Amino acid sequence: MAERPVDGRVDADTGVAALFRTHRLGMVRLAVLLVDDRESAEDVVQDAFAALHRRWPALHSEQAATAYLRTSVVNGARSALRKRRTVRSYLRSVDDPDVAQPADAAVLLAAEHRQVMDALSRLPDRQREVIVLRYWGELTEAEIAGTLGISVGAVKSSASRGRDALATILGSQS
Amino acid sequence: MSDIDDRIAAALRAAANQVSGADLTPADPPTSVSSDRSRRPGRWIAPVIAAAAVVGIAVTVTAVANNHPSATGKIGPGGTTASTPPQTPESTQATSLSTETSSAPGDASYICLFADASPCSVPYGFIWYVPLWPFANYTQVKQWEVAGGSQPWHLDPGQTALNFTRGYLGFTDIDRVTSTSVANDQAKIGVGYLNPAGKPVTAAVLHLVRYEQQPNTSSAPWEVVGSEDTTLSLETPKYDSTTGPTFTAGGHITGVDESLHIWVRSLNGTGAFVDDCCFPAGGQNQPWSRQVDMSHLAAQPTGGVTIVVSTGGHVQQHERFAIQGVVVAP
Repeated sequence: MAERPVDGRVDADTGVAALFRTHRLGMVRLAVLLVDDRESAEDVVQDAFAALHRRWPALHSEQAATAYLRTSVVNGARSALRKRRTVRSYLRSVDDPDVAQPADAAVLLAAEHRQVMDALSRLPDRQREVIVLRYWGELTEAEIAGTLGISVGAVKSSASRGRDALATILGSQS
Repeated sequence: MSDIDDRIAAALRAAANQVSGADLTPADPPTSVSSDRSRRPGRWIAPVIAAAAVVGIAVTVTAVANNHPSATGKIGPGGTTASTPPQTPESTQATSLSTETSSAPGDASYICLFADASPCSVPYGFIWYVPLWPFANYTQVKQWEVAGGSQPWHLDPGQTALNFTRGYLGFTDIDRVTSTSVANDQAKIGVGYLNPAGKPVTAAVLHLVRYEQQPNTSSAPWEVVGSEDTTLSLETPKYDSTTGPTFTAGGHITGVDESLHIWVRSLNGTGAFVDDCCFPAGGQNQPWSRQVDMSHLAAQPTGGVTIVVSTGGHVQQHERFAIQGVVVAP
């Protein structure tokens, strides 16, 4: 983030541009983990930065701006997934297919990791979000609660259920 | 951390690290100007201004497409751009299909899809669909209709897509329709095959349009006009562009150990004018390009041609392919 001027404030263009340089890649990675598609992830992140720009006057620290950005990305990813599910459900009603990935898709990610990611994709949205923010984002339970707008207790239970579900799925596969 | 915690963390790191800074589509941070422009209350202004301008024209063209290349700046009908602006979410996932219509003076609404099928007045720079297969022009469509509309598969977009793939392109290892989306005069048809695990895999999503003069003519036959590309794209030459006998074909590919094969086919000739195999490609959304030279051919294609690129060799010869429609001039 850009150094603040003497009066303690940077304008939205300067501040968001600085955050864009330092946080865009990390936010795209977070979005990719939630939507599993880089193009959608980039769209989600671009929208999140646009929202941050509009919200800038109300955010008074870099920490608050980053937290706002993270929440926007998670919400945007959830919205993108919802739209995608609607489209898929329409397409499946038109025709059958449970279409597989291209032949070499699995090669791009080691089989072990792909297994985990596949299992993760089967979790409910909330559990998947908590797992990603905890294991990849390395956020505290309070930070996850703030990002998702839920209580710390709900974070704990979602993390526990998600982890157990993953262990069950992966255990049954091995 | 326990084993399961380690596995989760390692997998998430690996998946996240697949995205590097170099992979990101170039984009600028939002500024006061761009942010103001994207604010919801202002979104109606541009369409209103555009509509006002259009009303003043004798021949009204109603562009409702989010799919037609002239409206989206895409490379072709249903084609994918590698430089999708991040400000247009899901622009490559468009599922609502639409058409361009025009009211010719004193007559019913025509459908402005193919240059030779309707007397439409269209804006400068309008991109027509290139008829690729099975009809080379509207005269052939009329002949088919006069002959009684034989071969009813012409009225089935799935069968037309499959016949194009297996019969015209010769990809006989692609043997099924994997998805179907039809809306009015347009269709997106996935064609593919079963992988060794017995699951259907889509090799390409073909874009078909009814070859017709008036909207929603159910007796009009389907015509292949392009493909909706994702992990293998054909972006140059641009859709509906005019090229000489020598040009560079190119696009992007995601995959490992890919082997690309290029053909140029035309309904005005038999066989392939170009059959260039095999050159390596691969990686994550990596560009590929290949020089195509038909200048030495005694009989060169003229008019609309289909450029085809395919990759395969992992589980079968043709695993993915993309097509592009261009016009070749002498």
